[in-house]
Amino acid sequence: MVEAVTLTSLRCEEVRELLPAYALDALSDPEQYAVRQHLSECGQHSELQSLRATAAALAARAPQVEPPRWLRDRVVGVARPTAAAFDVPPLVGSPRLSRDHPQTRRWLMIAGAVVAALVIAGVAWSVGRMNTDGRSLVGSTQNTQGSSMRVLYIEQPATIVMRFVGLPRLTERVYQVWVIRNSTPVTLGQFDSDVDGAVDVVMEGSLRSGDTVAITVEPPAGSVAPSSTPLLEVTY
Amino acid sequence: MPAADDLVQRLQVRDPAALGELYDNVSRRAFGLAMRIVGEREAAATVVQQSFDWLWRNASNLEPTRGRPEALLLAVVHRRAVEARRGISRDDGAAGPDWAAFSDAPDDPSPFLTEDLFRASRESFANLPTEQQYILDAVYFEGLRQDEVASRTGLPRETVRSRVRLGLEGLRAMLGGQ
Repeated sequence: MVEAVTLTSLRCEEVRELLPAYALDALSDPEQYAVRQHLSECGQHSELQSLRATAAALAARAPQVEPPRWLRDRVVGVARPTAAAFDVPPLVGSPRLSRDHPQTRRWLMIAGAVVAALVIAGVAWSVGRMNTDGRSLVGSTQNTQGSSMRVLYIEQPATIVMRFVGLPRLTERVYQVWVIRNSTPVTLGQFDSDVDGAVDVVMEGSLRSGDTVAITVEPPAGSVAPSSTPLLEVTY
Repeated sequence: MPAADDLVQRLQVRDPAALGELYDNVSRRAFGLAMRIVGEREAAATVVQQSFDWLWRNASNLEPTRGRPEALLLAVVHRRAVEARRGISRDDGAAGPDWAAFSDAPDDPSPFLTEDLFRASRESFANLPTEQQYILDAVYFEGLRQDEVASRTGLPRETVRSRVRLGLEGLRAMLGGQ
């Protein structure tokens, strides 16, 4: 606390003292709140910008580390279903794709083609099990709460595409996807559901006959094993 | 910086290839930063994934003239990693940085986290007094609030506060007031 200061009404001079720590997110919650209040009403603190930029430059002190290879597909995989949900045209055949790296392009075209087929044509789910092009419908399921999941599997590259309808929005929890093989669950990753209607999730992962694809609700960082009964599951 | 403008515009309209490009530009820094803060690969990957996810959902708020998306992404990663370390989880609406902080950015986006600035930042940091370096590291990488640094080190609170302030202001001055 700043000595003898009523935090809810800081003077400019006091705010100036606190701004470096504010830029570093290092104030106590009440101080942070008081500074934010002051800034919302006072236009005298443009130095915050350069302090923020300086604080952000501290990131340079962390070494660069190569992330796991699967992370890219997981990050970019989020884009397609979200794009579809936001109704952004066109996912496939866009000239923009040609600017990207060959590997990405390949991934995008395959994943994009699947999602586009699902979202735009809406037929892929209804034709039953497909074995052309190494794609197959793993199965579909619905629970008593009105949520449903359909799962499609693409062999090359090994990709699992899930369409969820009616998933409740979560706060402070995430959905986590599992492949259960011989009673052992292996996670494919987490996703948030923050849109109404259908959510398409594309994840890297291989499936064999007899595997079960399941989702559970987990803490934000995910769990190492399912901590609750699956909300939805289908077996290949 | 036309390339950045182009990337921002493509992110704004949610071009998935733009997300891939942003990832290629910044993922090693983002993952390294998350690793340094949370210390564990799986948790760091989750932080990075959720940060991209957040940026993607808020991409329509980006503006080409207001800083590079790489800088914003790193700010989100930092915030989320610190929250993970502090054991805080928030819903996504609260987990990003203040938009206001980015909306008042200077028109020239180049001050934001170019490789030159990164190099300058490392060099300048080394020129700060050791006690300021120590406290800035504790705040930035360990996610400690300044009063927590005081409790941990046994230093008077005002000493910690003044080192945080002098450290960041000193660094800013060495970086040319950027």
